[in-house]
Amino acid sequence: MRTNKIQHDQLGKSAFTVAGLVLLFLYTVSFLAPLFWALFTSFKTELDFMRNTFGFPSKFILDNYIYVFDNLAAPVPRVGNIYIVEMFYNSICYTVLCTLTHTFTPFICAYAVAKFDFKFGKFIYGIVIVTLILPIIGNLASSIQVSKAVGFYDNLFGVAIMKGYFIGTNFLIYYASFKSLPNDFKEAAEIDGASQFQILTRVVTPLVKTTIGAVALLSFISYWNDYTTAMIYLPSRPTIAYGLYYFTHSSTNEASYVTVAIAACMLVTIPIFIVFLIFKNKLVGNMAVGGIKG
Amino acid sequence: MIRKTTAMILCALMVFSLGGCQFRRDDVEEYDPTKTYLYIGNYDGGLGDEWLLALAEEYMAEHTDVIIRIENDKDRFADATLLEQMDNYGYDMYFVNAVTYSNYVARGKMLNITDAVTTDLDGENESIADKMNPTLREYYQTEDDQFYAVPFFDSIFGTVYDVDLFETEGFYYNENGNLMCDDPTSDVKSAGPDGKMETEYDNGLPATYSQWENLMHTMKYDFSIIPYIWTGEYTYYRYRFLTSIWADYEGKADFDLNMTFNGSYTFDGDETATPISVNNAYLLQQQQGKKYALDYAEYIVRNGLYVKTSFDGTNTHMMAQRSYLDSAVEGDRIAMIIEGGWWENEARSFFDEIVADSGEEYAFGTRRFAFMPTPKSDDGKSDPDTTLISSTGNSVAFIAANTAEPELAKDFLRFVHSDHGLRTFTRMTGAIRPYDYELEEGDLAEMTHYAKNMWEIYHSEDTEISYVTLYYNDCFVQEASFLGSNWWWKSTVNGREYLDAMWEFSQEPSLNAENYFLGLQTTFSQSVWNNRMSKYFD
Amino acid sequence: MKNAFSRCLEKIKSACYSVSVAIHSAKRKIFKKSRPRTMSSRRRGELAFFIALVAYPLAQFAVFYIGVNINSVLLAFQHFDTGTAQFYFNGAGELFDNFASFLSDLRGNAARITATLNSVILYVCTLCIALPLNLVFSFFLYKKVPAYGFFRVVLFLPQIISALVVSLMFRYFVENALTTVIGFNLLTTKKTGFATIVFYNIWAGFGTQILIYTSAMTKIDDSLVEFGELEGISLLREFWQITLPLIFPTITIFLVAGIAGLFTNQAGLYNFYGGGARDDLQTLGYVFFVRIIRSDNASYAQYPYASAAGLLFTLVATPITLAVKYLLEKFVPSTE
Repeated sequence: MRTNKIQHDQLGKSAFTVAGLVLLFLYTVSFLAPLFWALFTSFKTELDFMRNTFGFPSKFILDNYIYVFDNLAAPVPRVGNIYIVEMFYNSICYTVLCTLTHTFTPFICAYAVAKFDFKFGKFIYGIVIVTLILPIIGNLASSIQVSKAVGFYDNLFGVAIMKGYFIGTNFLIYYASFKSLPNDFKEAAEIDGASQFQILTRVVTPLVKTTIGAVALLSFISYWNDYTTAMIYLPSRPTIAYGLYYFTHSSTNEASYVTVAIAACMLVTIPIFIVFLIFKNKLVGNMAVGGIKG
Repeated sequence: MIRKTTAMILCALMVFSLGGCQFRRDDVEEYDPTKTYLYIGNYDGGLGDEWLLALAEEYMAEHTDVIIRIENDKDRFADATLLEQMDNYGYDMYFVNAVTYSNYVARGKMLNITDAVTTDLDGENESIADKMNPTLREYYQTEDDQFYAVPFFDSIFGTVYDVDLFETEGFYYNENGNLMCDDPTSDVKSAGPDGKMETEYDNGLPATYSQWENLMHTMKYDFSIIPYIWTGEYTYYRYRFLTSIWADYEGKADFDLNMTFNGSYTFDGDETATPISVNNAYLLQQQQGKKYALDYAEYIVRNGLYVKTSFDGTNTHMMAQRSYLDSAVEGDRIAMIIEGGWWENEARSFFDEIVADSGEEYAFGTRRFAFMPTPKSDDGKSDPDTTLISSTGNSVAFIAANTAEPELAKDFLRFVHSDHGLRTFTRMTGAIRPYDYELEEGDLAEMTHYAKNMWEIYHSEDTEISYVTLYYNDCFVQEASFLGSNWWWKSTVNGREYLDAMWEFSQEPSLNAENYFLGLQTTFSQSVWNNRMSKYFD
Repeated sequence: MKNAFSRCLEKIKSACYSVSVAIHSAKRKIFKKSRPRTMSSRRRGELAFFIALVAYPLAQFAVFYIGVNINSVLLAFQHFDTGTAQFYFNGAGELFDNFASFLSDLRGNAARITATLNSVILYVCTLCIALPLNLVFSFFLYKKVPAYGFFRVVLFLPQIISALVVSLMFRYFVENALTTVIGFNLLTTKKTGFATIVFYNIWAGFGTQILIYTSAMTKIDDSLVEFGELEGISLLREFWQITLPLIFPTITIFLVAGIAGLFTNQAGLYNFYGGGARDDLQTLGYVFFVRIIRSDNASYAQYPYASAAGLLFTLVATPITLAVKYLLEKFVPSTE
């Protein structure tokens, strides 16, 4: 059905194709090589690693992982150390809440702007474009201050609200997909007596659910990996990403081995990698954004 | 699908939060209201906490109504963090490796412990203050004669060498002034840098710069042994190494001017001494000892006398120690490591790992290491005494101002500083406390060759210690961004700034000891100095 | 930390409250009405729903975007008193002190000059190397090269695996493993240090852009592509003459929004080195990030300086951004 599949006779004919494929191949190798190197390293003893940095482990051991599981911890003021299971729990809470706000806020706002013909909607669209273009730099200090002033500092829900802007590319992604929906379904539903709320939840949402899924998955991944927010705003809710940062950069843990640090990296990466593998097909072709003219 | 997933995640969350109270937290033992508790925060760097646990056990055995809890950390007990956060921590006393004393006193964070420090200890006819190293006593006694902290431990910093290697390969100089490996006619060691046979700790070690150069050359070209390794993670290991050479060249009195800005100095070529104060302290950048140290740096780096990983950030100080130790088993042998007095204890677990892999002869205490004093300059301009630097003069023990148990804390402090307490510390860590105390035969028998060697050098009459981390002059605290680490080794050559001489020599072919040395005077020229420091002028 | 902002906030809070009261009473009025389907009542129903939808996003925006930025501007004119742990406005004479000290740093401080240069280099390299690579890779994925499913996962890996993990593995790999092969350390050698950081940023920067570009490409009208194929044009020409112009609006977004990155990109240095990156590796984004992230007085004292610098950066970046946007729209023919 699709015509854009590359024709096999086109392959190898032009320098462009060859160069592109070679680059793609080189990139793959360059990315996977350190990854596999790290994987092997995590099963080595430190002595083995020092003497045989590049090769396969002379003996596969699980000790590094066991050590990480027992010792991966981050300190919380007035509480003491928080360990890996609790940090995973914090990560899940933080990631789910932020994903919700970060997916939901632009969703409702984009729907209002795209599907209702009010002058104010144009204004909101203008805000999105202006904020996208207007580079505001260096307001982290102020942001920390404001979060403390409104009581969102060190508050999981507060931080999730703080992170849930409607502006940004997510708005544009939703906006593009709402705009591509024809308007007749709405009118039809109205005639059937559906309320606006019902139209949004029963009619529109199912139509754009793939887009929602893609946005949510992307947010989920980026919040899972984000350690700076937990570091700056959530001193008493260290997430696993922050725990990893702390574990690998703190002088308290400097005695631990390279092999252990790499094992910690692996342990933190595995869950999100599984999530991605399960949902990766949801990411195809739903992420188009329009231009920024307007 | 999405709804299902969301539902599943939400369910998981609910389950989690319901069962969420049982996360593993650090064990909190039952609080016994009939007992008195003392909470101690311990910076567990190279020294660990075994010594403190042992003393606490002893103390609790004697005082059954007391329970002492020790908590170890490094990040939380680091200088600036501790100063800001200690009101939240709630420990009664601390043993930490570095504080800016005047800040803590000014902000009222430390309890006044003058009475505990100045009255005689039980069963001894000396007080803690009496036993204290005089330099440090003067530093920690405030202008109104009060004590708010006492010095914790002392450690000399510089080059550590592998005694076993030096013996087997004949890397010592003999009485004829030749390396034993080149001249088998005598195996009587030379007198070493201090020129005295009776001080055995430096006998046979290179006495002059040219002997040192010759030794390095022999190691590298005749034996394929790599002379040096150091950590790449902490640049200050490199600064301190150069500083130790510079201090030894100048001698304690002249070197300490760099921190006190108070005294006089005879510059190279001058007949008379120039009075030094904060008004003209920039002149100290001309001290020839700096040039002497830079000569070492240039020679080591330009001749590749170091392990290639020495500048790598991932080569942490622990990694450097491990590579150094493992080199005896596999790979290129490394002769020397740039480290401080604590390193052997810090690397202890890795000794065990090598033993498990390669045998008992690599055990902690079996292998022998020792400290190498700085060779003297060939032109005889070096100070004849041995001057060592200590980077831990600012490590202290103190009691928090807001402690609930001031008397108990003071009593424990006094216990730790009894001769018995001090000995226990040295026996278990190999490190030294800057107090006047003797070791017994039994203590020495338990200590490693390295620890005994350090003890011997430290207490030798020919040795003086300069404390490079003390802020004798307040402007170091106020002008931290101007002086700070810049004051020691920041050079400006052709408009570019350099801080880390050893690394820069490895990167910039145009740099050498000569222009780097002159560049120090460019960084701290008279005009720059006046511009920034005039508010402190007398 | 009671400051001007807190007072503003009180006002905003009360304003928000009165707005919400107004909305509620409006809603009540609207819902009370019976349902004769006149145009105007339908309109009003839509309006109520519209307001209900945008109220929360706008309130959030008002506090955490507008409020934060106004406060940031105010901060630039304040100083922190370590004694009382409070922020105070600078007096009339020293109103612009924070700006002045930043500008003098920018001129006189060698490390800051290096950081500025590094930021420019990083930006240019991202533009000239990373963007074309992103586009070419996206095109190949869109054309479904052999094993494209596999490549798609690989190209998205840098997004899935935490940047911290990727950078740690990169660093260990370069410093421990690669050094044994090439004989010197790419990161600690001054000549190659920053180049390695730039390489890392490009290498680990694939992911989201590819996703969005391929999405945009699949939206291209099939008939256009078929027409091209009938004409027998090469893949390169298809890429250059059909695909690229058609997805250009999407590219514009990244180009325009990316300019702020010139000042904010910390190049992953915090992942690599924490607060202790070498001077010759730092970028402007990193310099300002590490100054203020610690929650202590030393950090608070840096807030005004960082805010002043940010304000200046914004003033510089805005005209550039607008110019770029203008030029892109003027000289690149629109295909819409």
